[in-house]
Amino acid sequence: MKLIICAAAPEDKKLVAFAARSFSRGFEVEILADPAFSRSCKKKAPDSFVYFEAGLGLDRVIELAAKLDGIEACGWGVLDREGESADPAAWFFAGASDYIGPALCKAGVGSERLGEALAYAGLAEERAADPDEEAFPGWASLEEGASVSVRFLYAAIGNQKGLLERIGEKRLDKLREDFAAFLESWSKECGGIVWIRETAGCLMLFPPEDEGMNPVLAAFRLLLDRALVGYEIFKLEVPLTFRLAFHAGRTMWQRPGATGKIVSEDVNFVFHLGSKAAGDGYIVSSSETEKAIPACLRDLFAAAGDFEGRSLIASRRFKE
Amino acid sequence: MKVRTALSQMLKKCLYESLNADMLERIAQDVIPDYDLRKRSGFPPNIPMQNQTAASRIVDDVVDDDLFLHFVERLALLDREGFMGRSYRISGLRELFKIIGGEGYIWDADTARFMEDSRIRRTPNWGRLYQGEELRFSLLRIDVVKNSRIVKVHGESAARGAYEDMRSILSRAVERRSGRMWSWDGDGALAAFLFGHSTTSSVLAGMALIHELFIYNRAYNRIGESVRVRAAVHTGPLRYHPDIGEIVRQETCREVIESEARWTPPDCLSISPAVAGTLDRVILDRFERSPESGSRALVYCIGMGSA
Repeated sequence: MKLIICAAAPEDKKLVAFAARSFSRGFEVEILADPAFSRSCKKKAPDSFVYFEAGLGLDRVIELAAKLDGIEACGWGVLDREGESADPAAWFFAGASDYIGPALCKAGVGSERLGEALAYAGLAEERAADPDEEAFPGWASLEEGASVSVRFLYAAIGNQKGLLERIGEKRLDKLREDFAAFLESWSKECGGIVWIRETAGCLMLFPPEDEGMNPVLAAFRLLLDRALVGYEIFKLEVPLTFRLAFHAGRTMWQRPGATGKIVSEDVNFVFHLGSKAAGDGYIVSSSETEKAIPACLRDLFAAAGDFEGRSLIASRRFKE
Repeated sequence: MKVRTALSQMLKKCLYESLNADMLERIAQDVIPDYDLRKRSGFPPNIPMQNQTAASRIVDDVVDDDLFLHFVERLALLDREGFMGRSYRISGLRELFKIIGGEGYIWDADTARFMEDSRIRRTPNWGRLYQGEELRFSLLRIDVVKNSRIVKVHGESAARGAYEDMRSILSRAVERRSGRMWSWDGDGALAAFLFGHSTTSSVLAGMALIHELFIYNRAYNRIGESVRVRAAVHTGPLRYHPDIGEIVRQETCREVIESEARWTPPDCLSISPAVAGTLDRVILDRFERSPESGSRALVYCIGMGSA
């Protein structure tokens, strides 16, 4: 998506600096003079968002905005650095999707705001991704104590009560240990790590965007292969299944093994989700991770009610 | 197997330090039928033969006949189980195994045979079978459903791409379980298993194939139509032959082909009663009776219930 600023004086250094400071990350920005914009908007405006300087005046902006009618994936707003507009609402009455006033200009505008404007204009899908989100630095580079956005997967061996009866406590303990070790290498294929190990299950973290295999696809494969994994890897002579719960959110980063003091609503939630709402042999996911489900698996998921105020979706269960 | 001089010298030493000439000849006869030591060495019957001479002649003969590994396997059996109630310790056997390992062959304790180390090379005869050698194999037969229609609708090039993907999925499933691909002709394949728990390995490879194709068809298939297969496993005796044409003529192979074609629904794996009898319950329980009437085969398919 491109960003166009239509101004009376495009060479204005303050305007150029403002555009560079505010919009350069994640967007291609072009500043055009009023006549140049008027001449070339049919060519340049598709797939873009246009900010008109308030100094052009309401009537002229309405005239120029009319030229955008019918142009594909295009919205417009007003940039009022000097506070020249006495009635900002008038722009919205005229069809604008955003108004950036002097206070906001001074405080700083980010690509996030532009995302909101695009959403208001109905162009949200066209929004360029936030480069901060794309550039996940890797687990080793995360700063201790920093708040990070991640995808969580709580994974546990299913039917542990039944296994306890069939293989005994000692072997079940060993199986839990082996399962956690198995998840270490399994999660690596998706760019993830095993973050918190508990007796009942493990909490894994994955980058916000796929790095390697999609973790939902990998989890689906794990469920498919449960008989092979149980027999070939864990040498079990009894059936094995898993319970898997996905969620996405934020947490304070601490390296694995030093997570004792983590206070995070999302971490809390995914533990509850995994231990209370998830079931054996299928994947449950909060609506926050719905977009992480690859399109090729969507038809295998369906709404599964609410849990602790969040809506859930769950995969179909494989027949045993 | 190419046997280096140092290795054959070592085997000779193991032999003459452990067995007398008569016993050496007796063991050689298990590997080379009707082996006559004196005839081969030219020693007249009335002259006693030294152990060293006998060992040297026998090792040279088994190397010439490409039966070096078979002979060492027989020695290992002698060391472990003895002969006619008497125990025989073969000195230096452990060291011998180590050197053979260095040549790219690993010991398979389940079958008490050497096989080539898959990390080094993969050949259809596991680097050690000879033409006509009869052993009990487990065979996995794959057939692509409606192959000609896929080629007709999507074109040869697109179909070839999908089949190449399927081939690599199948190879991975087979070779990571010590199996070997014996044939791949675009619309079908035959894989063989001999080592380890060969029937279990072939069944697990078949199940893994069905799973991987399920994922492949949803996530990676580029032709826009699912590649579907019928897979079948059967076990039985088979004489190894480097020509696949000679193999498919044999009873065990004919049976697995028939089982795949007659009793196996698409996207499923079927196993014969001979295979079912060897499986652990935890795997066998995944199979159900074939829906085809008259079939004694058991069938595995991916089944999905509601969320």
